[in-house]
Amino acid sequence: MEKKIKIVRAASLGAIAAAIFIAASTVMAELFAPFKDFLKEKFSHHWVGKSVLALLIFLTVSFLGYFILKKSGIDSLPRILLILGLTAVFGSFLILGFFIYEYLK
Amino acid sequence: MTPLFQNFLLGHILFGLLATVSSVMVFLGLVKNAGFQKIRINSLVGVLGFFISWILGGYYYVNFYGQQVKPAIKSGNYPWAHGIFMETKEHIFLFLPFLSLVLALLVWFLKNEVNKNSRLKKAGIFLAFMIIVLAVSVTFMGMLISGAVK
Amino acid sequence: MDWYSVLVSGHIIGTALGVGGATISDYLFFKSVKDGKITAGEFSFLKAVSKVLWLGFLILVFSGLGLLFLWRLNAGAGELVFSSKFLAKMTVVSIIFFNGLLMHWKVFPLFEAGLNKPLNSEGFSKKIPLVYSTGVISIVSWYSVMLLGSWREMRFSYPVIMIFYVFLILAGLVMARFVVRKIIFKK
Repeated sequence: MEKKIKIVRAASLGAIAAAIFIAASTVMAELFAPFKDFLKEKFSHHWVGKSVLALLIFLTVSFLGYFILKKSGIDSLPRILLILGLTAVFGSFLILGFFIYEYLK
Repeated sequence: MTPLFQNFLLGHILFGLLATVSSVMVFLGLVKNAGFQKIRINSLVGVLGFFISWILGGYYYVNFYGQQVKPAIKSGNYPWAHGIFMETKEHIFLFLPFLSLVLALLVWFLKNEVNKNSRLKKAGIFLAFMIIVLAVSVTFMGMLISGAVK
Repeated sequence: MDWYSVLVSGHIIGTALGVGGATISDYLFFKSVKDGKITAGEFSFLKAVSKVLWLGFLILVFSGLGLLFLWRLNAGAGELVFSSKFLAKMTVVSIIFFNGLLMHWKVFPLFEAGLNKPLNSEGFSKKIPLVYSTGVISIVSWYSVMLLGSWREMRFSYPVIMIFYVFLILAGLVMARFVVRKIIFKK
């Protein structure tokens, strides 16, 4: 049981990290051309780069989260899931708002 | 558009829709205390659907959309369909595979806890609902983008 | 039969199931509550009709997206997608969807918990506005979607269509409140 809770918690943290990366890299790539160029160079397309890096960040943070985090019961999990959902929503609004701003500029 | 790209675009839409429907089934299953076997299968279909849609859509986007469709939209009557909605959609979509994976892990590994712990159940319901909201938003954006192509 | 005909037929079937389901569902609800309570049998009927409604909605969505895909491939869909009628239709379809989720989340458990119990009890009566609101939104929305899809000559702007829609919802809510007070609370 302890293992299963750790897996879900680690994956949730990995997903939060991936979501933050997606939102941040989206804005950064538009504002900072060298970053977009780096993604294009290494991954042939900036969006492919963001996809691959998001996946890597998810896997890395999940892996680290599973092995490094101390034992804790199931009580922290609802809050982590809530944070995950809210991160995705706020990230979405940030991205939408940013592109509306960029388009209207 | 060649048949290959037509199939990739169609596949992207169909698998995305399937994943969305599955996420709705997970949501409804959790709120109605349905059998966990159904919820689990739907969560798995959701994850697979979003991942497949990601790959198919990504291939279409990188190899066809950028070269053929984007210039047509930008020079047409609705350039904001790309400038705002495609740019937003291609990034918001990336949240979905990860969110659906976490939801699937939750219902697969912790089904008894979800049943017993009301806070955990509410969190699962909230996560499923967020997936649905994002998926529906992305679908509508896709419709606007399709409409903007001359 | 070509894909266009298949998808149009599917779209019509989906609309029919949805409009029919919403109509029967509301009729069944008001019939059920005439005796002041909902029985297990009546609730079972409501659930069965709800399943048909969701099936209709699924067929509608899949066929609708299929039609849009065909237009995208062949002639372009700009005129359609950015027309006020289509945008209004999509708005109302989303309302149907989220209203349906709300019904299953909050209203159906309410019925289940109150089976064979008096509906004019304090606990249920506080929540009855939610019950009839979701019912009104469902039926008005389904008929609106049907009308928006079939009324080819309609040329109203999006704000005008939505104002009409909201007006119909409000009128429906007023009527439903009146009927519920008469039937359940006998006032």
